[in-house]
Amino acid sequence: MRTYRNCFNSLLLIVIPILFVGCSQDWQGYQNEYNQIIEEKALDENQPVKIGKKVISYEKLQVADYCISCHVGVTAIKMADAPQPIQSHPGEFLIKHDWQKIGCTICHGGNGGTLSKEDAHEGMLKAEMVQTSCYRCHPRSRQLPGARQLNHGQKLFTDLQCSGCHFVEGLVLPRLGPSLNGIGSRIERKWLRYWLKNPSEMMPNAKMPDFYLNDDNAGAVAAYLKTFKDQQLEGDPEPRKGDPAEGGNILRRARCISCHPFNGRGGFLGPDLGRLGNKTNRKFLFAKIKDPRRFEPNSTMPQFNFSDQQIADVADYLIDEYTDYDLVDIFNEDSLKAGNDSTTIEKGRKIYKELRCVNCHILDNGIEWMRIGPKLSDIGDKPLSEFDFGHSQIPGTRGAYIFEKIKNPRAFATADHPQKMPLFKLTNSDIYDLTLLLLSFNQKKISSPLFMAFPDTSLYRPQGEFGRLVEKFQCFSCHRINGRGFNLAYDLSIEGSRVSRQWLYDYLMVSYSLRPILVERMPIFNFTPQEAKTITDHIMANYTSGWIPRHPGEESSPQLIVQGKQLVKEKGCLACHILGDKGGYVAPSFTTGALAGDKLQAEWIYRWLKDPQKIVHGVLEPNYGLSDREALAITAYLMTLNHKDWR
Amino acid sequence: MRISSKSILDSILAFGLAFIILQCGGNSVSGKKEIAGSSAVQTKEVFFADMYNNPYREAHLSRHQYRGKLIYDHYCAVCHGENGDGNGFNSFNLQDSFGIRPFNFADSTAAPLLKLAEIKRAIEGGGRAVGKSQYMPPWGKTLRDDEIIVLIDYIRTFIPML
Repeated sequence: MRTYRNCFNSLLLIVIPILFVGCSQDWQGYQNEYNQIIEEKALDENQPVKIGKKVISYEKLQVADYCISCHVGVTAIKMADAPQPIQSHPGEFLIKHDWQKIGCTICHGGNGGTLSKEDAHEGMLKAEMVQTSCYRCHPRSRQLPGARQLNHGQKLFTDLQCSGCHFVEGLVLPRLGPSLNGIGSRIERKWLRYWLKNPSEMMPNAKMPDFYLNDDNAGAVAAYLKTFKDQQLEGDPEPRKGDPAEGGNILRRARCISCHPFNGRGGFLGPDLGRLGNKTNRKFLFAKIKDPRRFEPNSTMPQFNFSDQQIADVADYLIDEYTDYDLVDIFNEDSLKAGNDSTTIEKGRKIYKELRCVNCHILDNGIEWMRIGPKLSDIGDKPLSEFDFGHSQIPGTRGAYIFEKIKNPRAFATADHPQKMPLFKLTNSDIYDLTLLLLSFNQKKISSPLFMAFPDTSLYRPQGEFGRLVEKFQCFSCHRINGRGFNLAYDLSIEGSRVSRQWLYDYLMVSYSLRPILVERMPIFNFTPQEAKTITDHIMANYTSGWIPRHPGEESSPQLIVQGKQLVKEKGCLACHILGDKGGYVAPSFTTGALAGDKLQAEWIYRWLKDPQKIVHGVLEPNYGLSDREALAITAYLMTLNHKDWR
Repeated sequence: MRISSKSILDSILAFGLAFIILQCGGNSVSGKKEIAGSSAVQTKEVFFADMYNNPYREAHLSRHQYRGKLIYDHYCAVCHGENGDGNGFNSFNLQDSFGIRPFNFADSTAAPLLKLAEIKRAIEGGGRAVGKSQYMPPWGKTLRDDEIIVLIDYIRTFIPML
């Protein structure tokens, strides 16, 4: 008996140390590896860690994440190429977020409270899927820097008017579709019918979805819409005769193509004008160019300072040049009757009501806006049992459902449950981004005093005479000022610290092309001298930056200028800028167009040279890491470049 | 039965060790209990991207390489070309003005001899750092470390295999 017990005890003494070694934790190994790498590479910036469990805990958010026990390198710099799990966190997220408080699981999901690898990573969000957590803390109406796919999804959600039929809390949008009031006087009936049948076939950049209408139904809706006449437009006198050749010149000079595509080529802000002649008539076109907001109060088209004769020229040119004669033949051969009788119109009204056209378009016909789609506020964590998969064979997940539903809206329809959602023309990656956005709509909201309440800058509205001009020329369609507007053109928030007053005034009077490769160029608005002066004064007075002081004591000497000229050649600036007859086409030229000495302020050039990305995020110009002296020399040289001296 | 002091000691030792072992494994056991209810659905959902065409799949790139592609297309493609063949639109201006061409990563003779460390040095320090012209600017102060790493990861996809 005693022998047995001794044997048992000895056995235990042998087995237990083995078990001990076996259960020594992974994180110890990773932490050792991390210290080893630091030692090998002699990275001074990083301190070796003390071996032990590590935790990020913050009581107010109920955070207790042990993730950094293994992922010791996440916050370390220069560990980007270390193997996982000690690699540093990619991107700027940890710089922008207070990681010591919010921890890992608020964004990444998974289980922070465990040290076992499998358990911790269960249900974790990876790579771009992490973006579905952004709206847990940030407001849904906001574009978030860094969340590329989410932002794109949100832009699609707004553009495609999803909120017309689906309610989403915190993302309430106005109806953005064009107003249909008076459409009978504006659009041709045949066009309307073909358009309703398949919008993207008629116009390459159509936003309107396909409602699966057949010939008869589309014809009925067209007949119904044709009954809405604009009495005022009908009463307008016929516009004077224009000269199409001159109209073409005006059109090109005004750079309409910056916003409008013509048969798929050109900008993307306005509708495609490639088949304008088939779509509308001279009278409407004349009235539209004269006052773009007469028919649609929310139109983003600027009002050009054209004379009546010029407008007539442009209208005639557009009608003559952009008529698709194949389409005219199709329209002529179309045997379907016009169908003006009351039964057809009544049928059209019924279909119009059923399709909820009114959810995107304004039309004063007594039918009210009513969201018929399901609420999407919490689709990201809606129980799977509430999704109707129909007879489809796709994997049973929310992501797969949403993706399939957008790609093929009638995929889950059964005989008992017909579905009404229209078909949007989207690429797979568009649908993917939209799916990502929808998955981020969930109820896992976090509210804490930790998060700054961002002011809603999208409401910025300049006042007075300048405000009126901004409204007339629709500056926010392209430019961004103080957080409002589109970032198609230069952000004007600190323009007053950048350019000289004289240059700005001259540029407004004659808006020449600033760079050879620029695609969306500023239209020629024909500003009057008074308008140009008002805009210049407002920009120079109000849109300045505190850290770029106005008119500094300019330091310049002949030696400095020579040194600057030498540096411009040595540093390879000419790879992108043209000097004389040599150089690249990427950046503004030093020889033609707007010259630095005429256009820019010395202090701004200096700041720009020191760190271009600080002023314009993601600009192509690299940060050369110039010394103060070098930057001063180049500034001094660039300020000598002006038109007076070149001549 | 007589109980010797040694056997008592042994038993205590054994008991203590057994206790420690249990403690040791405790973390994972309790962790498992917590998440037992939290759905395998969620895990599937995380990876739904792999089942459908996502942007990475369309380009046959890994996630790293896709991030690198975004940086490459923005900063590098103007000269080196979208396909890495040194035919960006600005390359013709460089040819006309200075008689040089951007490096062609698709070149089957020169490119495979390139060392990754050399590419890294050229990106960080510009052309001068690897004994070439100054017209390749240094990006070491513009791009962060991790950006340069994913960028090189993408550039590698241009280089023909030997």
